[in-house]
This record gives sequence, structure tokens and C-alpha cells, in this order.
Amino acid sequence: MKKIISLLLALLLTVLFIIPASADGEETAVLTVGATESATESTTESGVQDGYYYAIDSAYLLTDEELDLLENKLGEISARHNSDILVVTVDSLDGYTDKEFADGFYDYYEYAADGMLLLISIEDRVWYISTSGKCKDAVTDYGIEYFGNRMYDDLHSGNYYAAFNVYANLCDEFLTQAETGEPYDKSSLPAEPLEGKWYLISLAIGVVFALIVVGIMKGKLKSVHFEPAAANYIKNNSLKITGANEIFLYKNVTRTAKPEKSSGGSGSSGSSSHGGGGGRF
Amino acid sequence: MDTILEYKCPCCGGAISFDSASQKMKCPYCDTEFEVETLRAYDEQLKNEQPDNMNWENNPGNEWEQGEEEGLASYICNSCGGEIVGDKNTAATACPFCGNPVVVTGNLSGSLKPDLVIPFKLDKNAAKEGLVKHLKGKRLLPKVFKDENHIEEIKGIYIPFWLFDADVDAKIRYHATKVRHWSDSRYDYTETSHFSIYREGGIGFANVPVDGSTKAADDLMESIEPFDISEAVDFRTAYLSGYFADKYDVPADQSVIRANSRIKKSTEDEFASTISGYTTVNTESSSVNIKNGKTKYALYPVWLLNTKWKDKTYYFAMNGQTGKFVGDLPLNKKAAALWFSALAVLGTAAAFGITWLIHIL
Repeated sequence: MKKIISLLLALLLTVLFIIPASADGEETAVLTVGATESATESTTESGVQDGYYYAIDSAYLLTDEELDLLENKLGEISARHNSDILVVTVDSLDGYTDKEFADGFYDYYEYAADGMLLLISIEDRVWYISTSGKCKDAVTDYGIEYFGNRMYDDLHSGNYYAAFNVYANLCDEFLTQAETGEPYDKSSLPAEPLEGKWYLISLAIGVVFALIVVGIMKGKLKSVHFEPAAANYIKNNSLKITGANEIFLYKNVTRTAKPEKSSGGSGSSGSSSHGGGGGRF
Repeated sequence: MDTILEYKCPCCGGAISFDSASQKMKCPYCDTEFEVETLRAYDEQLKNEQPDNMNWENNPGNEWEQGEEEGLASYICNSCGGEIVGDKNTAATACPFCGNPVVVTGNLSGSLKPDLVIPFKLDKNAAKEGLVKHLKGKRLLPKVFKDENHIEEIKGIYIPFWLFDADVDAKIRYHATKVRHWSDSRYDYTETSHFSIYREGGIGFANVPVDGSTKAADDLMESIEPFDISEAVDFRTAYLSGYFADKYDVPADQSVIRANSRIKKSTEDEFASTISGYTTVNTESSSVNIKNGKTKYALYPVWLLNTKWKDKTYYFAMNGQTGKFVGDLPLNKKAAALWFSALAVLGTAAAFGITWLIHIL
């Protein structure tokens, strides 16, 4: 199984090598003689490799069970929305840009006219989403940025299965919304759920508030204390300063780096038939 | 020729050497750099420090005149050792400090006659009202406490105080900082500048009170301050009728220690109030000299009450001139716990609600 996948991807890369680097006009797959033979050997009618159509994990980020679950989930969502929703992971982009790789992959393997592809390259630490057909309108550039924000924490910490699930659920949600005729866009993106830490912070605030108020009530019970100074006994206007100076000694400057968070940058150019955007993690 | 002078580092205290070849001063322990001028000026300031010089003339009080002593009776409490003095016609039965019976000793020898007295301005009814007001509105006070204290036993008693007048000269050194924040696109910066500030000058104090009785708790007496000295009069035994006076048992030279520390602290605070424009100011060293120190012996009016509740004694005092009422009260632990839980739940819900609203908008 895994041998076939790696063989296939090697072939794909050979093929893509021949595609012109600048995409103007439609992309066509140019096949050399050698490539044709091997390509037909291992591709099935509409699939990339035996059994796995939607979830292609050549970087081995997922376990076998996770891969199966993901494949089923993506398959089910794709069927419901009449689109192809994919996840592709690779070790490296091998010099291609994220857009070239993602769009090229989608077109080469002749997926449906409507669909979305999530590409993850581990060595480059890059994610990229390529959209085509009706999915371009369902998930706009703002949508892709939103996907990026929602997936960032899981991708960054290596929970790839969780990130892919987020992707799948979001695709489902966005496509469902688009089918009502009003796709999500800049002003109407669904609110991100509150992270778990906010529950703890609210609890902390509640406890601190209670402590302060009860502390004040307790303080009212106490009225006896030593008086450390004698301010009430100063003779009026008797304060006279006869000498004063202020010397500068030294200064310290400390600095803290601002956290850098990545988000999606939109990258769709009008000339290609795919929409898309990506970012780093 | 290289000249080597040694200064103390204001940041970490290590010895800094000046190397004339490089024209800079740098501390080898903490790596802070200084200008030569800065260290020289700082060194000058350090050289100026002197120890405190707080001397007092101590001749408070007078001798009793003939005949004055005859109208007075002296009592002693065998349980707590409290000694009080009263007019012969006012019979004392209970000790105002511990509530146990007192016996007459009839001996006033060894005591001084006070210089001043502030007569009682507020009577027993006012004292009782003061207690009721003190207990009102305290949500964590056990309800039973309000009912159980024997308010009738509140007693008016003159407490002996030593009063200290002084003119003070002081030289004080402070350490101050100024903090500045700014950011650019990659970092947040915090700059802390350190300064050494010097103030020298004078200030006057009058009638700083220190209680001269071991039976009257010092913190309780300091809590009912201030007393207004302008209403004080020369002492006459007549003022004692109807009330008792506690006999002093702390000598003036011992009380003076407390007066010294309060005067020194006030001097540091007042001088610090002339410093402005800094983020933090702390006293580093101060040298305080007392001139023209005078001591007086006075009686101040105080209403006292003690109550026992759940095996603990609670003391209350009211300033017999201004009416200020103080006294620590017991805590109702169950009520406190209930309030805490209710407020915590309320606070959490409110915080969460606000967070959610901000999030949605």
C-alpha cells in the first residue's frame, strides 16, 4: 500500500516537472511517453491509488485508523455536497510553490469540477487550500483565512488528525451555508468558539471578585491598628527643605518579543481556474 | 598614567574601577555602565550620611501640691495589676481593664502630677450610642454578639500619655525610578531609569502622644487618635470627679522610642512628598536630628469596654473628646463562607457573559 503511494507521488512529481512554471491560461498535464505508461499502470479509473481517494497521506502523519476514518468522513461530505473534498499531505513541495502543487495535484488527478483540496507540506511547514468550481464562492479568501485560524493551533502542535477534522467540519458547514444561497463571507463568518481557557479565566475572575468583596467585609470588622507616622502632629507650615538634588544613576532596557501568529494570505490570481490561499504553521 | 579610583556600584554594591584608558565606568559584577560624574556625585551623597541624633529634655510633669493628694484615692486590681486613681467620693468597684474587683490602696506616692488634661467631652450615653453605631452594618458580625455585650459596664477613664514636641532636622536619601514603555513591530520595550534623590531640611512636631500605661493596649490607643490639643487645660483634680485616671507605669524614656519612630517616618514621608515625577520612590537612608525636644505628661479621656465572647476578650475604646470608636469584632465564619460562594458564582457568570458578548461583537 504505502509503496504504491510513494511510487505514485514520485511519478506525479516527474510529471509536474514538465508543466510550465508560470500558469497562464488553463493548466494542462503534459505527459511524456515514459510517464504515460507508468501513470496508466497505477491509476484506477478515477482514483489516485487503490482505496484512498480523498485522504492522501504521503507524509505518514496519520495512523491507519485515522486515515480510514478521515477517508470515510471526507467521502461522506463530498457525496452530500456533490464535490470532492480532499486532504493531501507531502513531505516537501520539492521546489514548487504551494499553489502550483495543490492546483496541479487536483487537476492532474481529474477530481470533480467542484471541490477543495487541503495540502500540508511538513518540511516547508506550509498549508494551502485550493478551491474550484462552486467551492470558490462557498469559501472565499476570508473563508480560507478563517479556516487557517481555526486549524492553526492543531497544526502547530502536531495534532494533524484534529486539524483535518476541523477542516472537514468547516467544509461541510461552509458548503451547507452556500447551498442556502448566502455563502459565508467577510461580514458573516461564523463566530469562532470560545477556547477552553476562557472558562477558566471567568472562574478565576469570579473567585477574585468574591475574595475582594468578602475581604472588604472582613476588613470592616477590624479597626485597631498601630499608627506608624505622626502626620497629625506636624506643626503647620513647618516643613522647610533647605537642600535637594536628584542624580541620574543608570538605566536598563528590557524587551519581550511579540508572538508571531500566522494566518492565511490570499493568493488567488484571476487567471487560473482555482481559488485558494495558504499560510505557515 | 592610569589612575584607579574605587566607587561603589549603585545597582549591586560591588566595587567599580575607573580605567582612564577607556574613559568609562563599568561594574564587573552586574555589567551596568555609569558616567564618571554620576558616581562621583553619588559617592558625595553617601559620605554625607550620619546616624540619627534624637535627644530629648525629659522633665515632664510636676510634683503634687500639698493637699491635692488628699482628695484622691488609689486602687489596685489584683487580677491584672491595673492601677487607677479616683476622686475620694467616686467609689471604684470594678477594674476597667479586666472587669474584676479592685481594692483601695490609698497610696499615691511615686506618681507625678499631670501637666495637662483634656476633659471628657462626651458622656456615657454618647459612649453607648457609639458602641451601637460601631456594631451596625457589619455583615459578617455574628448576630448573637450584638445582643450579648454588657453595654452598661462601659467606663470613662483618663489614660496617661507622654506628649513629645520637637523640631527636626533631617537628611534623607531616596531611590527613585522612572519607567517608560514603548513598542515597535517586533518587540515591547520597558526602560527603567534609576535615580538617587537627596532632601535636606527641617520640620516641626507638637504633642506626639505615646500612651504611658501598660494596661491600655498601645494599638488600641493609637487607633482612637487624633486628640485635639487645643482643648487641653492645665490639670486640676476637680476634673477627675466622676471618672478615673489610670496611673502611668511606662517611664518617659521608654515611650520616647515609639515617638522617635513615628516622627522619623513622618519626616521621611513629608520630605518624599516634595518629590514628583517618578514612578516609584523609596527611602534608602535617613538621618534625623531632634532639637528642642520637650516632653509633657497629660491625661486624655477614653471610654473603655471589654467583652468576653466564646472565650475571647474583645476590647473597645472611644475617644472621649472626638467620639471615634474602635474595636476589633469577631468573624461569623459560616456567613463569610456563604457570601464567598454566592459572590464567586455571580462573578464567574458575569465574567463569562461579558467575555461571550465581546467575543460575538
